Amino acid sequence: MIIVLRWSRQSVVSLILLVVLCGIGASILWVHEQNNRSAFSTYSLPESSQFSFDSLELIPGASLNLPANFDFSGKREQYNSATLYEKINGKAPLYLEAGFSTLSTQRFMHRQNPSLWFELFVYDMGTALNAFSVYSNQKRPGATVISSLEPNDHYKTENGLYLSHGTYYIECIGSTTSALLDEAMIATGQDLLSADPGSGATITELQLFPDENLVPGSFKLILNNAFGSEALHNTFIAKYRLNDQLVTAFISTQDSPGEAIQAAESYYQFLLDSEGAPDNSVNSMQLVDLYGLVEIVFAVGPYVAGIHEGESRIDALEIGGRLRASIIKVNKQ
Amino acid sequence: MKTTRFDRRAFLAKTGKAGVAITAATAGSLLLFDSEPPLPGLTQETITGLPDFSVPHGAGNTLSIAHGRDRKKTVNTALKLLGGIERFIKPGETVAIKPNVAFATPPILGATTNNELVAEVVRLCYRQGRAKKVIVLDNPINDPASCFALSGIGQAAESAGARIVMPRENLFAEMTLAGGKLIRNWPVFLVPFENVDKLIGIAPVKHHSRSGASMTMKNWYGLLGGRRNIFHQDINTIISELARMVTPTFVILDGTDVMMSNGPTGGSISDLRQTDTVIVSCDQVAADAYGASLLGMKVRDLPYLALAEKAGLGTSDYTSLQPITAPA
Repeated sequence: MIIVLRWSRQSVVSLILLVVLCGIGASILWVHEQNNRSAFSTYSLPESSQFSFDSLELIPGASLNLPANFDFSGKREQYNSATLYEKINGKAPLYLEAGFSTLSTQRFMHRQNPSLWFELFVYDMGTALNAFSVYSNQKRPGATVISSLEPNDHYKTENGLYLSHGTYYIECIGSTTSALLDEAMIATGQDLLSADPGSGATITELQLFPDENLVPGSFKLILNNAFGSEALHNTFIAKYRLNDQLVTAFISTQDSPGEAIQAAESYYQFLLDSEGAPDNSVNSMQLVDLYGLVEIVFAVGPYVAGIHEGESRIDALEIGGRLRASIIKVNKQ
Repeated sequence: MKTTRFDRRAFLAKTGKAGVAITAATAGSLLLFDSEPPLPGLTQETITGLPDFSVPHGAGNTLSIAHGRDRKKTVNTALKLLGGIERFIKPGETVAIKPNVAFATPPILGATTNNELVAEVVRLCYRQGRAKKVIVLDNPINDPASCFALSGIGQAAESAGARIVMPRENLFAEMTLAGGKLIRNWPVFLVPFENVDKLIGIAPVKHHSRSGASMTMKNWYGLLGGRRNIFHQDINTIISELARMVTPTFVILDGTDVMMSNGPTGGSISDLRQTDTVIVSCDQVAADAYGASLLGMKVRDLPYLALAEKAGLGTSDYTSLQPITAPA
């Protein structure tokens, strides 16, 4: 009886040890399997956020409603200047150098057709000028205008909608070309514009450009080092079509008339240092022949203005003269 | 049957010894446990680069060009001009494919490698190369799962039989590139290359606002971990170092639709231009030099090409390789 009892105890201990060993073995197999699974895991979209509401506020005061037949897909993402590269990588410097503050993004997916989706990007650029700068510098040629979004700065391409509104630069990028996506993106744009209609007010410098022969939607803003010159900052550019040639006019805003004169002289000297040849035939403007192209620069009030890389001297002088007259006229008002 | 009798003292003594032995073994295991997995054919001491995956090549059999809208046809044609994929992939080999899956964007934008092109190359590896296994890997900029899903590359590659290797912390190991200025003690997506025999890079031709262009050499950026954006401060050096870090079997440069502006993300179909060209090359410098022409650029516009050439990684004078071009 005693022997039986002793064996029984030993058996119990043995069994416990065996169970422990089996447990260790099973754990090893489990960990191994988990490693394999995650190393070769199947990809999938992150689960849709379980929003219990059907609107979202990416711009303060702009309640963003779900477009008809669309749902939010994935979670709202937010980036700051330290993390922006995690979203747009090599394009981040374009925004960072233009005063970027924050980016919020959200995807929307069609309820019946998941291949129809678009992603909304809302960049807070800090100032309206910064927003207009990144908007205008990425503007796609040949884009169309949507009447319901007028008069705000915007354009539409085959699969995208782009807006500059107050301090915000906004993109809606569609997964494909689709009338359903267009409708949803435009509705989203309208929601965002409703935030503060006043914040999309016209940038005053743009009114300095004369209207005649102006290529619609050709405005661009370069914040720093326009045409390679440190003297030109906050430089607005507009294209004119004259005699089937494009002429580039510019206006750079300086802090005072004195600084404008100084900046105009610095830019003129920069052109000469770039192997430009002076042309002193015009009194009111300084002309430089740079490798066969005409450069014009002059100062009016706090503005430095002129023509860049004009192919025709006559056309450049024509647009340059009109630009100077327009600035003088507006500046007097 | 003879029965051995134990008394209580003997039993406890033996149990105690067994316990000590188990404890010692466990402690020893814990002391010797290495949380870092073994690395691919590299010593644990200093990793200075990936293994050389190249095959012998020379003028006349290094670079081929095919034209057309259908990527499946053009990549098949370009590979045939170089002797077929069987020249590069041998039966039973494991192949790694590195597409550009950087962004969670749809294929139509051309910001990522075309998903159908990836699938076709996977199929070629299996059917004509008779590969044992094909893995597809990248460390995207955006959330990896979203990138593989929305770019269509995950589904396309898996449908063709490849396995997707997602980036995970313990699949990275620190590397100090031999002669490298920037890649020093830097985490690199190395572990998946264990037992890999051949490596194929597949990249689209894209404008890049920082480097001028993103093509096959820049594509290896997706093997870097950590806060790699700091390398944008010296973009030409990092791209040339990436080309030094990786010696692929061959690269495929997809210039079917070229992102001409607003790169590397693009965002609009209007950023793309149809150039209907696919290049297959054993020389990644030559491939990118050809790609520059699709972007309307000169070799001198992309300083990293000169840096890579100077480092002996290839030639930017792709004509010297006597490229084979398929009739249009």
